Amino acid sequence: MASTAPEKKDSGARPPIPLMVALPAAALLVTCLYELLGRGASLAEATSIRVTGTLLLCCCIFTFLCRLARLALGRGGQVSAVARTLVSEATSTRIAPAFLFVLFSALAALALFDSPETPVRYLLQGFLSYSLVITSVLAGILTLLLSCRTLSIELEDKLIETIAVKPIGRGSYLAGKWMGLVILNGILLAVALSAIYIFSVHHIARLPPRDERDSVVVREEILTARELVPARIEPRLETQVERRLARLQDKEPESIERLARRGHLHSHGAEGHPELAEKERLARARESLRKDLARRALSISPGKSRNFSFAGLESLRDSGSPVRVRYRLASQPGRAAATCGLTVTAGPASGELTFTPSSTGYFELDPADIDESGLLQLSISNPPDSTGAIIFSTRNGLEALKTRGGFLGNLLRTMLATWIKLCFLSILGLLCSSFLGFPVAVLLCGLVLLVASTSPFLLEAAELGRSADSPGGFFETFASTTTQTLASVLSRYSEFDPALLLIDGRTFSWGELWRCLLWIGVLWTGLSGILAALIYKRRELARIQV
Amino acid sequence: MTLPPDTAFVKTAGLKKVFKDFWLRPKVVALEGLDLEILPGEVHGLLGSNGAGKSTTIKLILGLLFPTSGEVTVFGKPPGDVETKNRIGYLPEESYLYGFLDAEEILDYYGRLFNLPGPTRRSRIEELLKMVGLQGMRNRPLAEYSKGMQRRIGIAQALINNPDLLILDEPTTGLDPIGAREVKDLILRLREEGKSVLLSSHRLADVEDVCDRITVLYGGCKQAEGTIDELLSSPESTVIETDRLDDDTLARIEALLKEAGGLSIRKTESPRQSLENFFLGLVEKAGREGAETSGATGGAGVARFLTRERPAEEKDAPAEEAAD
Repeated sequence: MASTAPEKKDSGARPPIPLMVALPAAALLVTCLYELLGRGASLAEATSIRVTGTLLLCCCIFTFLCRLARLALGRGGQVSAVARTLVSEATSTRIAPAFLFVLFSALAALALFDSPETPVRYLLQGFLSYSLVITSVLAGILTLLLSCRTLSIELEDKLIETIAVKPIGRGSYLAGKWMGLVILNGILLAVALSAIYIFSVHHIARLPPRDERDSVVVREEILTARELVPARIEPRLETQVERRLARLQDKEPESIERLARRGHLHSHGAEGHPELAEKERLARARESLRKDLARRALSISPGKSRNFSFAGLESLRDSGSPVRVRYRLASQPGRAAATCGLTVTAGPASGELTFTPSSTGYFELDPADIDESGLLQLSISNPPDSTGAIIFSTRNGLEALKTRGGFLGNLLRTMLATWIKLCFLSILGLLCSSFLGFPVAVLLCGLVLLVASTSPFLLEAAELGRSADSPGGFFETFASTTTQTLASVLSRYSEFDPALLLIDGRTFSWGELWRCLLWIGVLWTGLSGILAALIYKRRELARIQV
Repeated sequence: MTLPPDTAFVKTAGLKKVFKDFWLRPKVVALEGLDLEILPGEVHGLLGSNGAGKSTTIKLILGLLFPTSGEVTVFGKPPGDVETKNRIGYLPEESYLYGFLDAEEILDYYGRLFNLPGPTRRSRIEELLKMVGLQGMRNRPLAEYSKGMQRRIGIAQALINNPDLLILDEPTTGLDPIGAREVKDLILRLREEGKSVLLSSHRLADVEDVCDRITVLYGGCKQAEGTIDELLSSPESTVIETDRLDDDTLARIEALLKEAGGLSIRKTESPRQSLENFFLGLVEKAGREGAETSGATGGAGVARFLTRERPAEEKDAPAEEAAD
């Protein structure tokens, strides 16, 4: 064999400090110098330094978690070897850092936005709302691109020819790819969670309050996790509906038909079955009646009063803290509702409580009024001299608040729900790219994601289209049926949307998260995984130019 | 020559492959009724012009393509069998590697796909990097490697599992003469160790240098098969090589030939050194004189784990691997 010549020192080795840390560190240094020299203000109070510092911290967390993941995956077998390579691919090819760059730019811009006229609570809700949407959309796009790319590019570049001849089953190979995507998404969401938490709790929430309610609302209504107990109408709405329906059936049967036409219940194909058709007609009429009575029960005319109750408040009674009841009025402020007083009578402990309501507000009651079974009953009166009726909103019009936990826990559960959805998207991308090329696979996945995300709207639109009493042509029927079927199948995806709850300071419970895990994380992901493995096993992985 | 089915490492019978278009209509018949056997300890060459069906044959043996009809067995099992793959090493016609990984990482990755235990993996990576002369560039991403250097890593990955059957598709493409010579030496050494090699190449000289038997394909059909001697020897003439002869001696030899049966000398020439040997001599000299290089250095022989003279820890590896 030929003699060994001396080797030059390898200059192509990777730098000891990753760019992901070096760049934001440099940015922080420049920002500090700018603040120090330009303004002479306290560095600790400078907003730009806080924001840049947060970004540096998040970059450090990302780098640390990536290294930790690679270290942990370096110890496993074949599946973790594949997963580790995917994580390395996402970081080395700068796909994941690019995602973080866009995400951080958006979060920093949102965090830096400060209008002196806008109350802090609105700034905070705006930040939370946009940051959660941006995070889930960007992470969704990244997941789809990576999951569709990783298989199809390997096939395109013939890399798979070297890998598939190694003793790893094709199912295990897919499992490794999925595991890598899941870990990568976990890391990215952990970084996003850190950034959102720091920006919202340690930056926006600490801005000077604009009015006296600002800090209270931020602390007790946004940066918290509360369960809202909706008011029950007394006497019970169901009893009222059945009583009314029976009376109409006896005395005005023609009005049942009129009510049924207004009800938008899903049709079960009862045409040609008189008994089923009658049942469906009654169900529609009942639904229509329920809406009418609920609306009426939430409206209090001058000189009248209505009774409501809240159940399940044992914990509040035991804690001894006041019961906060939140109301939302359907009428606009400045009109009738705002000019009248409102009297709330709960029990002997609270006595009578009179105040002038605004469009949204709270009143507090004594927890001693809650009975042994956790029931709180109250009566709300509109004084006779009032200028108009008080109308509570039919949606969340009257609710008792029950604190269940902190903001961090709620944010964590929100991110976990997003992660579970991304786990499904990962396997969906792998499934599509197991038999399609990259662009087509991305398009198909994007379509599924779009239908899944907008399924409530699509279902409603399809339902409205069906009840329009026009039969429609073949294509209309086909499109409507297909859309409805797809949207029904995928409707669970948008059912678990904790972002709206988080912005409102409402709890996304562990129970809901568990349901999300079972439906999307286990059932959907599992089925897609099995299908992907079956397809991939039957696919020829080599390409011959013929 | 026909062997019992379990004797041959690779056996194909009536192998046919038809490629179809999007509408599943037959497009090209790439292989038609191929019968092929690769025996233990032989270097088998696969020759053919472009589109003859060499790559298709290799990919059918590896389970990357599925036959339209006919049968392939590798070590007596279907080609896709995961256990069978433990005994195969494959070097594709071009080095398809993850450009973002470095040499050490890619070999570690492939080693893990073979479920090699950590210590065995690490020692094999060291030996292979030394063997292919890339120890100095182990931490550089493969995307920055030259084509020849990537080819060397391709060879290293094909050997990481110490395979019983090595399938090499154009192994010397992109390699410098030293690398090409080393690959040929490696093939011969592996044959000595009782391993089989299936070699597909356009370089007829390479095939002639190392192969025991060859199969020639054309248009997807087998045109010829046999040992190099069977196929190439020409019994009508005899060549004698000796030290330089003067004119008198040549005249006496010719007279002798005439006397023996009316024969004559058709051609006499002085052999000259080949360009390959001349080049190799120059490089060896430069290496001895200490000239630096940022490229691949000359390899250091065959990795010890590929030979019978294995280090002590390697001898325990099969037991370890089984336990793993």
